[in-house]
Amino acid sequence: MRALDWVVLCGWLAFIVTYGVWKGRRSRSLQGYVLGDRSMRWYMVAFSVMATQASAITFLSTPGQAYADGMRFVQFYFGLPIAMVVLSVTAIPFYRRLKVYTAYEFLERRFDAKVRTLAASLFLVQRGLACGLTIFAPSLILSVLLGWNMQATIFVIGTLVIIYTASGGTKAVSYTHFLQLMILMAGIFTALAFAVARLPEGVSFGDAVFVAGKTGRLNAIDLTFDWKNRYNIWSGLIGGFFLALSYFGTDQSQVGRYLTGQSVTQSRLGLLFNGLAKVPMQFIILFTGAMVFVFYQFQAPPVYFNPVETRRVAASAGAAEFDELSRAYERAADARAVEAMNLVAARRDGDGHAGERAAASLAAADAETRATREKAIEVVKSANPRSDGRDVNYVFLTFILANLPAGLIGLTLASVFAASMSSTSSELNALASTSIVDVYRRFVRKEASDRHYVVASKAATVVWGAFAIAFAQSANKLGSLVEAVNILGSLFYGTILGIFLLAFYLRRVGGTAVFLGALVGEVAVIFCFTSTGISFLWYNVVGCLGTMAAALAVAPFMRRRVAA
Amino acid sequence: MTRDPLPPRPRGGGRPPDDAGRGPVHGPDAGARADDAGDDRPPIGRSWGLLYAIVLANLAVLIVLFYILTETTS
Repeated sequence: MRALDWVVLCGWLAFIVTYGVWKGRRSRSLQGYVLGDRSMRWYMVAFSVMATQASAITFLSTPGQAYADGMRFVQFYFGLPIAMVVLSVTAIPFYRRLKVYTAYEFLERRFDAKVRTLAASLFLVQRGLACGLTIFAPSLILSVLLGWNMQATIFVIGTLVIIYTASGGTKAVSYTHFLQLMILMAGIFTALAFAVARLPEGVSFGDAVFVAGKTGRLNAIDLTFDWKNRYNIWSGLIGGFFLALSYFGTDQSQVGRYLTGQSVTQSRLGLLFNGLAKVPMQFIILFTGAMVFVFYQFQAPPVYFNPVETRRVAASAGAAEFDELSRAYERAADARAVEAMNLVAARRDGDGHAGERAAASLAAADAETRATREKAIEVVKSANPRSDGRDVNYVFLTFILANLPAGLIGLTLASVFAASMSSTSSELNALASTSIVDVYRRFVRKEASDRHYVVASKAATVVWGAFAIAFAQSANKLGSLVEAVNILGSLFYGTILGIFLLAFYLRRVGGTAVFLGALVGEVAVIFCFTSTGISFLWYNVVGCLGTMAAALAVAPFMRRRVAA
Repeated sequence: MTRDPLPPRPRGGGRPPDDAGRGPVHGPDAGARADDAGDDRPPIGRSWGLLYAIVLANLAVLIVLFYILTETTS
């Protein structure tokens, strides 16, 4: 990284923190601090919702996911547009009519205090941990890039987010989201452009797409139904719908974003825009990863993408074996590049049979490189038994650092930080809002001045930020970050969604029945997680339906008790 | 369009929250607008139903395009 990159990156960080503090300087009431005085237009709501979901994990891990596994991950988002429509019809009018500060406040009005507290607690646990992961991701970049101490890096990044989020509240978060989303997409398009531009001479964009397809990287749709297959169209449409419904409908980090809208209309338009734009946006990010994969078909990639682990192996007893495997991998990758060029030539000639033969040869050469890489990964794991051997989070970063010119590396890294800070700020804001509105103001200090609650919210933001920083220290043991976050969310979202669906649609079910149903639903999810191989997207369905079924089953007995 | 979204009062043990629409933290809602019932016409398009249909149709078209991409390039 050169001086120009540092200027761009540091300039961006300084600007966004200053801008956030300045934009939120007038948030002096609790409504201003938590809801931004309900003053946002639809496009601000839309960008804020999208920026909240698009974390640095999205930026770093999603292209790596496409590199390793193709584009089938895009199916994960198919349920999202349907959920946006359902929420626009139901949740937004509910929340707006009741003028709630948090989603969980609504549950007390519908049921009772214990259901509100249970849902708020599940949110605080789940989101508090996830917030640690979103701070960890950009810290990973700096530690790999500069060899910085990971703990110090996490502390610095976390502190920058805490400064403007605690200072300005929701307004600071929403206004910075717009800029952060813009620079995030600028970074993605820059990386995509360079992945294509750095292809060997004579290999066009069309050739790259052709090679990506023949190597299984454009497998965007999988119609086969399999409970244990994480990403197919059915898990995406059904499981993804439940996950999106729960995330956007009951997670305060998202509900808080669209509650800032000026009106039902502005909030609805914001969510519907997200429904239109989210799938194409994820497609572009995954496609960038597929193009990076194609780039490395023509140029030998490192045998292992994590340089820290590679250095560790070099200092271990397995160094000689790793060196030998690295050389073998380079030879196999060179042979694969030749086969990839043959495939391109066959395409140019329009010779279908030659194309099929070249594709088969490329697949064989790719299998050879993968087999060598697997052996190298085993050496890495021997050198560091704590490593799980996964390097998917480093793929995109490695490409950026090796192939982008000075200035643009800084811009792309600024995108990563923008993405991380946008999600983290929403999460801290939501965690603080829920802690103060649903716990502190409800149970600890019921009557206090607005100023007191604003100060308490700022303190809660700092405390949750400190907690997230502490949790981030152990995040590098969790494998693919994007999956870790989604699995973590799926452990709780189904149950919370079940509670809210009962609240919205089943008027005869009371608070105690819902509370018991939620406990049963959560136990069912934990059983699926610990004792079955069911894909995590289905946890949302199990938790939701388990909660609803159990609540409906016990509801008649609860009513009888009340009547007696 | 949308039905009356107000939920019923809780049965058996439900109690109103301490802050339901009053007190210092629920002061005048400067941001509240006339369309908080959610049954107004959208600023673009003829109705909300049409906008919802556009979002769902967009998803259907994307799935078809992705399917074609998968089949033609594999």
